[in-house]
Amino acid sequence: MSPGPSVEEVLIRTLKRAGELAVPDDVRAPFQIVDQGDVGGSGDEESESPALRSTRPALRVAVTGIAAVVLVAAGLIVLLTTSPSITIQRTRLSAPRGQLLLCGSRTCAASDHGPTPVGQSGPSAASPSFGDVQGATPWIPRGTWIVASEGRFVRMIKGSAGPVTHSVPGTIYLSAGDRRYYRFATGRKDGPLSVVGHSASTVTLKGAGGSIYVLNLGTSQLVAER
Amino acid sequence: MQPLGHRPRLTTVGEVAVGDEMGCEAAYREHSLALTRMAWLLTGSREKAEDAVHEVFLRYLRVDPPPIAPWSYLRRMLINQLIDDGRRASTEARFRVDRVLVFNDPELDETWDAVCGLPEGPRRALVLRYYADLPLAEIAEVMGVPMGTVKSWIHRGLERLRVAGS
Repeated sequence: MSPGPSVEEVLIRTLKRAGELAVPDDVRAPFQIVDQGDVGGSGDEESESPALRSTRPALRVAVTGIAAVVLVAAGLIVLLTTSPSITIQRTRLSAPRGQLLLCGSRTCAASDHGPTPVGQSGPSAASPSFGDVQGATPWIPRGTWIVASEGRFVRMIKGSAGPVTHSVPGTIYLSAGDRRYYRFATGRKDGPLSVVGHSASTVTLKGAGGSIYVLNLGTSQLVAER
Repeated sequence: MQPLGHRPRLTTVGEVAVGDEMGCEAAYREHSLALTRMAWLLTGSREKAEDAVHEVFLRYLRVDPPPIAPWSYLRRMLINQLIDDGRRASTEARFRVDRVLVFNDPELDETWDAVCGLPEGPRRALVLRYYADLPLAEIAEVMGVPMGTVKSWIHRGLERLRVAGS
Protein backbone atom coordinates (compact mmCIF):
# COMPACT_ATOMS: atom_id res chain seq x y z
CA MET A 1 0.00 0.00 0.00
CA SER A 2 1.55 3.24 -1.08
CA PRO A 3 1.55 6.20 1.29
CA GLY A 4 -0.87 9.06 0.58
CA PRO A 5 0.24 12.43 -0.63
CA SER A 6 2.25 14.48 1.81
CA VAL A 7 0.73 17.47 3.52
CA GLU A 8 2.96 19.68 1.38
CA GLU A 9 1.63 18.13 -1.82
CA VAL A 10 -1.96 18.57 -0.69
CA LEU A 11 -1.23 22.13 0.32
CA ILE A 12 0.23 22.95 -3.08
CA ARG A 13 -2.80 21.47 -4.82
CA THR A 14 -5.13 23.31 -2.48
CA LEU A 15 -3.46 26.68 -3.00
CA LYS A 16 -3.35 26.21 -6.74
CA ARG A 17 -7.00 25.23 -6.90
CA ALA A 18 -8.05 28.02 -4.55
CA GLY A 19 -6.33 30.54 -6.78
CA GLU A 20 -8.08 29.14 -9.83
CA LEU A 21 -11.46 29.25 -8.15
CA ALA A 22 -11.02 32.75 -6.80
CA VAL A 23 -9.48 34.19 -9.96
CA PRO A 24 -10.74 32.22 -12.97
CA ASP A 25 -8.90 32.18 -16.25
CA ASP A 26 -11.42 34.39 -17.99
CA VAL A 27 -11.04 37.41 -15.74
CA ARG A 28 -7.76 38.60 -17.13
CA ALA A 29 -8.76 40.50 -20.23
CA PRO A 30 -9.59 43.19 -20.84
CA PHE A 31 -7.47 44.73 -18.18
CA GLN A 32 -7.17 48.46 -18.21
CA ILE A 33 -4.06 50.01 -16.83
CA VAL A 34 -4.68 53.61 -15.98
CA ASP A 35 -1.95 55.52 -14.27
CA GLN A 36 -3.22 57.57 -11.40
CA GLY A 37 -0.52 60.11 -12.07
CA ASP A 38 1.28 59.44 -8.81
CA VAL A 39 4.67 60.61 -9.87
CA GLY A 40 5.52 62.70 -6.89
CA GLY A 41 5.72 59.99 -4.26
CA SER A 42 3.26 59.22 -1.52
CA GLY A 43 5.35 60.39 1.37
CA ASP A 44 5.70 56.96 2.93
CA GLU A 45 8.98 56.04 1.41
CA GLU A 46 10.31 54.61 4.61
CA SER A 47 7.94 51.68 4.27
CA GLU A 48 8.76 51.05 0.66
CA SER A 49 10.44 47.79 -0.16
CA PRO A 50 13.83 47.46 -1.85
CA ALA A 51 12.44 46.40 -5.20
CA LEU A 52 10.03 49.28 -5.24
CA ARG A 53 12.68 51.69 -4.12
CA SER A 54 14.64 50.73 -7.18
CA THR A 55 12.03 52.48 -9.31
CA ARG A 56 12.14 55.67 -7.29
CA PRO A 57 14.96 57.33 -9.24
CA ALA A 58 12.91 56.99 -12.40
CA LEU A 59 9.98 58.65 -10.68
CA ARG A 60 12.14 61.51 -9.58
CA VAL A 61 13.33 61.95 -13.11
CA ALA A 62 9.68 61.88 -14.14
CA VAL A 63 8.96 65.03 -12.19
CA THR A 64 11.63 66.77 -14.19
CA GLY A 65 10.29 65.11 -17.30
CA ILE A 66 6.80 66.43 -16.76
CA ALA A 67 8.16 69.93 -16.71
CA ALA A 68 9.91 69.14 -19.97
CA VAL A 69 6.68 67.88 -21.44
CA VAL A 70 5.01 71.17 -20.69
CA LEU A 71 7.77 72.85 -22.65
CA VAL A 72 7.42 70.36 -25.50
CA ALA A 73 3.67 70.90 -25.57
CA ALA A 74 4.19 74.63 -25.72
CA GLY A 75 6.58 74.08 -28.60
CA LEU A 76 4.02 71.96 -30.36
CA ILE A 77 1.44 74.67 -30.09
CA VAL A 78 3.83 77.00 -31.86
CA LEU A 79 4.52 74.37 -34.48
CA LEU A 80 0.86 73.71 -35.03
CA THR A 81 0.25 77.29 -35.84
CA THR A 82 3.05 77.38 -38.38
CA SER A 83 3.18 73.93 -39.96
CA PRO A 84 0.96 72.49 -42.67
CA SER A 85 -2.25 70.92 -41.43
CA ILE A 86 -2.28 67.16 -41.09
CA THR A 87 -5.47 65.69 -39.87
CA ILE A 88 -4.29 62.25 -38.97
CA GLN A 89 -0.88 60.79 -39.08
CA ARG A 90 -0.25 57.14 -38.58
CA THR A 91 3.25 56.15 -37.75
CA ARG A 92 4.60 52.69 -37.39
CA LEU A 93 7.07 52.42 -34.60
CA SER A 94 8.96 49.70 -32.98
CA ALA A 95 12.36 49.28 -31.48
CA PRO A 96 14.62 46.62 -30.12
CA ARG A 97 14.32 45.81 -26.50
CA GLY A 98 15.79 48.50 -24.38
CA GLN A 99 15.48 51.19 -26.99
CA LEU A 100 12.90 53.83 -27.36
CA LEU A 101 9.66 53.20 -29.08
CA LEU A 102 8.95 56.85 -29.31
CA CYS A 103 10.34 59.82 -31.02
CA GLY A 104 12.33 62.08 -28.83
CA SER A 105 13.36 65.67 -28.67
CA ARG A 106 12.43 68.44 -30.99
CA THR A 107 12.76 66.75 -34.36
CA CYS A 108 10.40 63.90 -33.73
CA ALA A 109 7.96 65.94 -31.74
CA ALA A 110 7.66 68.25 -34.69
CA SER A 111 7.08 65.38 -37.06
CA ASP A 112 4.03 64.29 -35.14
CA HIS A 113 2.12 67.29 -36.21
CA GLY A 114 4.23 68.96 -38.79
CA PRO A 115 5.77 67.98 -42.08
CA THR A 116 6.29 64.32 -42.78
CA PRO A 117 9.75 63.09 -41.82
CA VAL A 118 11.87 62.45 -44.86
CA GLY A 119 13.85 59.29 -45.46
CA GLN A 120 12.43 57.48 -42.47
CA SER A 121 11.20 54.35 -44.14
CA GLY A 122 12.85 51.13 -45.15
CA PRO A 123 15.88 49.48 -43.62
CA SER A 124 17.41 52.77 -42.64
CA ALA A 125 14.64 53.16 -40.16
CA ALA A 126 16.30 50.58 -37.98
CA SER A 127 18.02 53.47 -36.29
CA PRO A 128 15.26 56.02 -36.41
CA SER A 129 15.47 59.52 -35.18
CA PHE A 130 14.57 58.74 -31.63
CA GLY A 131 16.06 61.97 -30.51
CA ASP A 132 19.07 63.18 -28.72
CA VAL A 133 17.97 61.88 -25.34
CA GLN A 134 17.86 58.29 -26.43
CA GLY A 135 20.34 57.00 -23.94
CA ALA A 136 18.62 58.52 -20.95
CA THR A 137 15.02 57.83 -21.76
CA PRO A 138 13.05 54.69 -21.08
CA TRP A 139 11.75 52.17 -23.55
CA ILE A 140 8.27 52.61 -22.24
CA PRO A 141 5.65 54.39 -24.28
CA ARG A 142 4.29 57.72 -23.20
CA GLY A 143 0.89 59.19 -23.69
CA THR A 144 -2.07 56.97 -24.30
CA TRP A 145 -1.48 53.51 -25.65
CA ILE A 146 -4.23 51.33 -26.93
CA VAL A 147 -3.09 47.78 -26.82
CA ALA A 148 -4.89 45.56 -29.27
CA SER A 149 -4.39 42.04 -30.42
CA GLU A 150 -5.76 40.68 -33.65
CA GLY A 151 -8.11 43.59 -33.90
CA ARG A 152 -9.46 43.21 -30.40
CA PHE A 153 -9.12 45.69 -27.59
CA VAL A 154 -6.88 44.42 -24.82
CA ARG A 155 -6.29 47.40 -22.62
CA MET A 156 -5.38 51.01 -22.49
CA ILE A 157 -2.29 52.46 -20.89
CA LYS A 158 -2.76 56.06 -20.04
CA GLY A 159 -0.27 58.60 -18.93
CA SER A 160 2.44 56.31 -17.67
CA ALA A 161 4.88 58.32 -15.67
CA GLY A 162 8.48 58.00 -16.65
CA PRO A 163 10.94 60.48 -17.99
CA VAL A 164 8.84 62.32 -20.47
CA THR A 165 11.09 64.53 -22.48
CA HIS A 166 10.03 62.70 -25.61
CA SER A 167 6.34 62.61 -24.84
CA VAL A 168 3.77 64.01 -27.16
CA PRO A 169 0.58 64.65 -25.21
CA GLY A 170 -2.61 63.69 -26.96
CA THR A 171 -0.99 61.15 -29.18
CA ILE A 172 -2.65 57.79 -29.44
CA TYR A 173 -0.47 54.75 -29.74
CA LEU A 174 -1.83 51.49 -30.98
CA SER A 175 -0.07 48.24 -30.50
CA ALA A 176 -1.37 46.31 -33.45
CA GLY A 177 0.21 42.99 -32.65
CA ASP A 178 2.85 41.26 -34.67
CA ARG A 179 5.36 43.53 -33.00
CA ARG A 180 4.00 46.59 -34.71
CA TYR A 181 3.09 49.84 -33.10
CA TYR A 182 1.10 52.61 -34.67
CA ARG A 183 0.91 56.15 -33.55
CA PHE A 184 -1.95 58.47 -34.32
CA ALA A 185 -1.72 62.18 -33.94
CA THR A 186 -3.93 64.96 -35.08
CA GLY A 187 -3.09 68.27 -36.60
CA ARG A 188 -4.23 71.66 -35.55
CA LYS A 189 -7.73 71.15 -36.86
CA ASP A 190 -8.44 68.44 -34.36
CA GLY A 191 -6.00 69.04 -31.60
CA PRO A 192 -4.96 66.20 -29.36
CA LEU A 193 -7.11 63.12 -29.33
CA SER A 194 -8.36 61.62 -26.13
CA VAL A 195 -9.93 58.24 -25.56
CA VAL A 196 -13.54 58.43 -24.48
CA GLY A 197 -14.51 54.78 -24.72
CA HIS A 198 -14.01 51.50 -26.44
CA SER A 199 -15.74 48.36 -27.54
CA ALA A 200 -14.21 45.01 -28.30
CA SER A 201 -12.95 46.12 -31.69
CA THR A 202 -13.14 49.90 -31.76
CA VAL A 203 -11.93 52.84 -29.74
CA THR A 204 -13.81 56.09 -29.64
CA LEU A 205 -11.67 59.20 -29.64
CA LYS A 206 -12.49 62.82 -29.15
CA GLY A 207 -10.63 65.71 -30.66
CA ALA A 208 -9.99 68.95 -28.87
CA GLY A 209 -12.67 70.62 -30.95
CA GLY A 210 -15.26 68.08 -29.90
CA SER A 211 -15.07 65.93 -33.01
CA ILE A 212 -15.63 62.25 -32.41
CA TYR A 213 -13.62 59.60 -34.21
CA VAL A 214 -13.83 55.85 -34.16
CA LEU A 215 -10.66 53.87 -34.54
CA ASN A 216 -11.17 50.42 -35.96
CA LEU A 217 -8.62 48.20 -34.29
CA GLY A 218 -8.83 45.58 -37.00
CA THR A 219 -8.11 47.90 -39.91
CA SER A 220 -6.41 50.74 -38.03
CA GLN A 221 -8.78 53.05 -39.87
CA LEU A 222 -9.90 56.19 -38.15
CA VAL A 223 -13.23 57.59 -39.26
CA ALA A 224 -15.10 60.66 -38.18
CA GLU A 225 -18.51 60.30 -36.64
CA ARG A 226 -21.07 63.02 -36.91
CA MET B 1 -20.11 57.56 -39.70
CA GLN B 2 -18.01 58.65 -42.63
CA PRO B 3 -14.35 58.76 -43.52
CA LEU B 4 -12.33 61.82 -42.74
CA GLY B 5 -12.36 64.57 -45.29
CA HIS B 6 -8.85 63.89 -46.45
CA ARG B 7 -6.67 60.88 -46.30
CA PRO B 8 -4.38 60.39 -43.35
CA ARG B 9 -0.75 60.82 -44.09
CA LEU B 10 1.02 57.61 -43.23
CA THR B 11 4.63 57.58 -42.35
CA THR B 12 6.91 54.78 -41.33
CA VAL B 13 9.44 56.02 -38.87
CA GLY B 14 11.04 52.80 -37.77
CA GLU B 15 10.58 49.10 -37.86
CA VAL B 16 12.76 46.76 -35.93
CA ALA B 17 11.95 43.44 -34.35
CA VAL B 18 11.01 43.73 -30.74
CA GLY B 19 12.40 41.18 -28.31
CA ASP B 20 10.08 38.38 -27.33
CA GLU B 21 10.03 39.36 -23.70
CA MET B 22 9.81 43.02 -24.34
CA GLY B 23 7.21 45.18 -22.84
CA CYS B 24 4.39 45.26 -20.47
CA GLU B 25 2.04 43.66 -22.94
CA ALA B 26 3.95 40.42 -23.10
CA ALA B 27 4.64 40.39 -19.39
CA TYR B 28 1.02 41.09 -18.64
CA ARG B 29 -0.26 38.33 -20.83
CA GLU B 30 2.14 35.86 -19.41
CA HIS B 31 2.13 36.68 -15.74
CA SER B 32 -0.89 38.73 -14.69
CA LEU B 33 -3.14 35.80 -13.93
CA ALA B 34 -0.59 33.99 -11.79
CA LEU B 35 0.25 37.23 -10.02
CA THR B 36 -3.40 37.98 -9.31
CA ARG B 37 -3.90 34.53 -7.87
CA MET B 38 -0.84 34.84 -5.72
CA ALA B 39 -1.99 38.24 -4.52
CA TRP B 40 -5.38 36.82 -3.72
CA LEU B 41 -3.84 34.01 -1.71
CA LEU B 42 -1.85 36.55 0.26
CA THR B 43 -4.71 38.96 0.88
CA GLY B 44 -7.92 37.01 0.51
CA SER B 45 -9.35 39.97 -1.34
CA ARG B 46 -9.97 39.83 -5.05
CA GLU B 47 -10.25 43.58 -5.26
CA LYS B 48 -7.06 44.13 -3.37
CA ALA B 49 -5.28 41.51 -5.45
CA GLU B 50 -6.28 43.14 -8.72
CA ASP B 51 -5.35 46.57 -7.44
CA ALA B 52 -1.95 45.32 -6.36
CA VAL B 53 -1.26 43.66 -9.70
CA HIS B 54 -2.41 46.78 -11.48
CA GLU B 55 -0.02 48.87 -9.44
CA VAL B 56 2.83 46.45 -10.01
CA PHE B 57 2.42 46.62 -13.77
CA LEU B 58 2.35 50.38 -13.64
CA ARG B 59 5.63 50.32 -11.78
CA TYR B 60 6.96 47.73 -14.15
CA LEU B 61 6.25 50.09 -17.03
CA ARG B 62 8.61 52.59 -15.50
CA VAL B 63 11.51 50.23 -14.99
CA ASP B 64 14.39 51.04 -17.27
CA PRO B 65 16.05 48.95 -18.46
CA PRO B 66 13.43 46.19 -18.42
CA PRO B 67 14.37 43.35 -16.11
CA ILE B 68 15.95 40.27 -17.58
CA ALA B 69 13.63 37.98 -15.67
CA PRO B 70 10.20 39.65 -15.67
CA TRP B 71 8.48 36.97 -13.62
CA SER B 72 10.93 37.08 -10.75
CA TYR B 73 10.90 40.83 -10.80
CA LEU B 74 7.12 41.16 -10.93
CA ARG B 75 6.65 38.52 -8.26
CA ARG B 76 9.05 40.25 -5.93
CA MET B 77 7.48 43.65 -6.55
CA LEU B 78 4.03 42.27 -5.88
CA ILE B 79 5.02 40.50 -2.70
CA ASN B 80 6.83 43.55 -1.41
CA GLN B 81 3.81 45.68 -2.06
CA LEU B 82 1.39 43.28 -0.42
CA ILE B 83 3.60 42.79 2.60
CA ASP B 84 3.96 46.52 2.97
CA ASP B 85 0.21 46.94 2.67
CA GLY B 86 -0.24 44.24 5.27
CA ARG B 87 1.96 46.10 7.70
CA ARG B 88 -0.23 49.15 7.43
CA ALA B 89 -3.50 47.35 7.98
CA SER B 90 -4.45 43.87 9.00
CA THR B 91 -5.81 41.86 6.13
CA GLU B 92 -7.07 38.96 8.19
CA ALA B 93 -10.64 40.22 8.31
CA ARG B 94 -10.73 40.67 4.55
CA PHE B 95 -9.16 37.29 4.05
CA ARG B 96 -12.10 35.62 5.76
CA VAL B 97 -14.50 37.15 3.29
CA ASP B 98 -13.32 34.89 0.51
CA ARG B 99 -12.50 31.80 2.48
CA VAL B 100 -15.60 29.90 1.45
CA LEU B 101 -14.61 28.05 -1.68
CA VAL B 102 -16.10 24.82 -2.92
CA PHE B 103 -13.42 22.43 -4.09
CA ASN B 104 -15.61 19.36 -4.39
CA ASP B 105 -12.74 17.50 -2.82
CA PRO B 106 -12.91 16.85 0.93
CA GLU B 107 -9.16 16.78 1.26
CA LEU B 108 -8.76 20.17 -0.37
CA ASP B 109 -11.76 21.58 1.50
CA GLU B 110 -10.27 20.61 4.83
CA THR B 111 -6.85 21.86 3.90
CA TRP B 112 -8.19 25.17 2.70
CA ASP B 113 -10.24 25.60 5.83
CA ALA B 114 -7.15 24.94 7.89
CA VAL B 115 -5.12 27.41 5.82
CA CYS B 116 -7.74 30.08 6.39
CA GLY B 117 -7.64 29.39 10.11
CA LEU B 118 -3.93 30.03 10.36
CA PRO B 119 -2.59 33.29 11.74
CA GLU B 120 -1.42 35.72 9.13
CA GLY B 121 2.31 35.05 9.48
CA PRO B 122 2.22 31.27 9.03
CA ARG B 123 -0.42 31.50 6.31
CA ARG B 124 1.58 33.96 4.26
CA ALA B 125 4.76 31.99 4.82
CA LEU B 126 3.07 28.86 3.49
CA VAL B 127 1.74 30.68 0.45
CA LEU B 128 5.11 32.22 -0.30
CA ARG B 129 6.88 28.90 0.15
CA TYR B 130 4.48 26.50 -1.53
CA TYR B 131 2.68 28.69 -4.05
CA ALA B 132 5.14 31.43 -4.90
CA ASP B 133 7.99 28.98 -4.49
CA LEU B 134 10.23 31.42 -2.68
CA PRO B 135 13.24 30.13 -0.76
CA LEU B 136 13.18 30.53 3.01
CA ALA B 137 15.77 33.27 3.01
CA GLU B 138 13.76 35.36 0.57
CA ILE B 139 10.57 34.84 2.55
CA ALA B 140 12.37 36.05 5.66
CA GLU B 141 13.62 39.07 3.79
CA VAL B 142 10.31 40.16 2.29
CA MET B 143 8.43 39.54 5.53
CA GLY B 144 11.08 41.30 7.58
CA VAL B 145 11.53 38.48 10.09
CA PRO B 146 14.43 36.16 10.95
CA MET B 147 14.68 32.97 8.96
CA GLY B 148 14.10 30.99 12.15
CA THR B 149 10.71 32.61 12.45
CA VAL B 150 9.84 31.60 8.91
CA LYS B 151 10.91 28.03 9.58
CA SER B 152 8.83 28.00 12.73
CA TRP B 153 5.79 29.41 10.94
CA ILE B 154 6.03 26.86 8.17
CA HIS B 155 6.59 24.01 10.60
CA ARG B 156 3.63 25.05 12.74
CA GLY B 157 1.50 25.70 9.70
CA LEU B 158 2.16 22.29 8.20
CA GLU B 159 1.54 20.68 11.55
CA ARG B 160 -1.84 22.37 11.77
CA LEU B 161 -2.70 21.17 8.30
CA ARG B 162 -1.53 17.67 9.16
CA VAL B 163 -3.77 17.61 12.23
CA ALA B 164 -6.69 19.01 10.27
CA GLY B 165 -6.22 16.35 7.62
CA SER B 166 -6.08 13.52 10.07
